[in-house]
Amino acid sequence: MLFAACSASSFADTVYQTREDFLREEFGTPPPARAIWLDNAAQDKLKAVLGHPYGQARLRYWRADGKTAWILDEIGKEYPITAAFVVKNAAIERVRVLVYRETRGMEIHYPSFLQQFVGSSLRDDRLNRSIDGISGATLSVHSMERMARAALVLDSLTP
Amino acid sequence: MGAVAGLFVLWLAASGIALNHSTDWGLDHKEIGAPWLIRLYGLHAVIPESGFRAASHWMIGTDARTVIDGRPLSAALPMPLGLAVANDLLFAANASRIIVLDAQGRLVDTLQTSDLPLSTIHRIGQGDGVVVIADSQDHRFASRDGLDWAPYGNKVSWATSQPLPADIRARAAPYLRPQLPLERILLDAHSGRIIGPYGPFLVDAVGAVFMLIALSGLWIYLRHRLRSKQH
Repeated sequence: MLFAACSASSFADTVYQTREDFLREEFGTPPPARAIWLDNAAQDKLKAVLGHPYGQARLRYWRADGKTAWILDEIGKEYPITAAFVVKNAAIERVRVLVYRETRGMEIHYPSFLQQFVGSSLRDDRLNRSIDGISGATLSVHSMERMARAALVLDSLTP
Repeated sequence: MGAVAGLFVLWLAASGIALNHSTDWGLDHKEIGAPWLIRLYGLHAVIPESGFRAASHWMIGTDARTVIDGRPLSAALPMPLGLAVANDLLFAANASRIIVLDAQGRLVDTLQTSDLPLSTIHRIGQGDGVVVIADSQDHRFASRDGLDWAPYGNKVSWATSQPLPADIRARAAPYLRPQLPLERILLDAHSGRIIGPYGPFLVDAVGAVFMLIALSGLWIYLRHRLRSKQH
């Protein structure tokens, strides 16, 4: 896929938390960013959980205290949602929506929704628990589920 | 007359159903750039006269689209500052972002200023095997891959805007023409806006005629029933 999705900006960007604030909140002093190259094998695994290869060939992540943090972008309806995931022991430990760009469906940033992901892990490329949807935010909910699965796959790919 | 009315109703119903399912059917992402349609909307292509060159690569940008080596980026890089090549990677920058591509034009990474040692990019250029960025105070940092940046004091060839060769403009032209989402076109056709400011009034008028026909039919039916009861 040539020239796959870059982070796009829309007029409706709502920044709930900056990446730096998220990392400070999670790690105190954030560790230096590491990078993982998404080769064909990695992209195949990501495609299995995202439905498509990830839109770029290199991803930064942060590792400290036995956990990894990932900032991912995935299209909701029209624009990418930017979300942060912390993975520890192959399970989601924390999720935050950092930037929401769609005009409808921002309810996914509420902790009551995000809490459902905590503790979830991958089983046969699916989350091992079902995530309750939100009326009017179906595509955003699905986008968050895809990103959660991708974060778990990415964590498994790190050295 | 009846056939025309029937076709009109069919069109309204079909376009209404399509609009209801535009997301599921991907109509909101399908872009249409047919020249006659774009003219109908009063839009026209503006191909820039200049762009940025790095080695054999060219970047052309408008506010809506950025084209590198004849291929469009999926998200535009507004107000580009330049293009640089290092370590077989292509770096396209504006004040707040660097898009990193590989030699085949695949997206490698998108660097925000939070990934960089500068809060704003003022210039981008090439040093000795490295990409170099500088802010307005001329603090310069260099990197081979966009991951690790270090202060840089050697000679830099800064990216500058250059006149575009005709063949480069021609390759980019198809991607720089305005396009509209099919959903928008359907919506405008459904509402009548596609034929101009009076289009919605025309559709309103046709709707009013249909209501009159329906009401007159109802009236005839009720009158007929009333007369039947009287007999």
